Amino acid sequence: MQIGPTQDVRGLKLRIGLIAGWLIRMTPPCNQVVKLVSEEMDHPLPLGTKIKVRLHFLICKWCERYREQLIFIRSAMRRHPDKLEGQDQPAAPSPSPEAHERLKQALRQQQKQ
Amino acid sequence: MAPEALSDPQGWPDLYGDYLYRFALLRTREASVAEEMVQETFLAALQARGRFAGQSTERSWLVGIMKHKIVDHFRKVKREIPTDDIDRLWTGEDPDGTFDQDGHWKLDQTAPLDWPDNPGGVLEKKQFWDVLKRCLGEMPPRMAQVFTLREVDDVSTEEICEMLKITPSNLWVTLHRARKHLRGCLEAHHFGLRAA
Repeated sequence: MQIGPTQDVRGLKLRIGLIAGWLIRMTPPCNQVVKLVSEEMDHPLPLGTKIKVRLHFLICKWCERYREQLIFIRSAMRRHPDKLEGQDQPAAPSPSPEAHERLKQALRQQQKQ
Repeated sequence: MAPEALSDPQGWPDLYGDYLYRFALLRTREASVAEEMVQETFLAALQARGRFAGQSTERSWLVGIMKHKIVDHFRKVKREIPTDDIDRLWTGEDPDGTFDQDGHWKLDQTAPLDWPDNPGGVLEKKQFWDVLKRCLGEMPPRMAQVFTLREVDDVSTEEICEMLKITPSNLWVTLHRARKHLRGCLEAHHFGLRAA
């Protein structure tokens, strides 16, 4: 039997549909995946769990995106803690004038001893 | 090159007071504690002056001392309300209704959107950092402390649990909630992709 291009596409779609359906049933739902994604940023997941999360990404670009964005936020903060502290901002918080004076006094006293 | 000598300690508050205060404030989230940390750092540095090897700058030497002081502070603080302030913001499994009843994203409401390309360029924008700081400021202080220790300072989860006397499962939940909040807050307020 000769299989034409239309049948090919239809067959392919069916197979993809079946695989996707199987993946949806086999992998944890998104609300669990986001927890595992976070946990994986702190310690390695068991291999089976890790595989399930990766399989989930095949059918859910949102969870994969979620993971990429968490990693982006982490790397931004680790690369630029000074920006988070506001070190480059003249208006960033400073010790009160009284506290500033207390610091000087404490140093003077300690130096005298 | 000759090792760098320390400057007159009387000048430290003018030279490094603001810098160290901001460093401590991000991590402790409390102005009075941050002030205390600066003072303790200066006094400890004064005593340890003789051990300054000149291998680093004066400022990074002081920051090194301050890190120890902050860890000591966390260890000393009594844990009367270990998780209360974390639960205040988030109660239940999915309090903000991010997921539908089957546990999946609500596609047109909560599913993470594609952030614009060139995320590197974003890091140069003051507005990005302002929003990030604001989002961090919305967290309960205890959650923000845990989050900062892990995500900014790369302290291991074992150390954080030991330092703050919390269980690993409590830590995972706290970090998960903090990350979820910060991501959503950034998406709404910086990337402006979806109304908050």
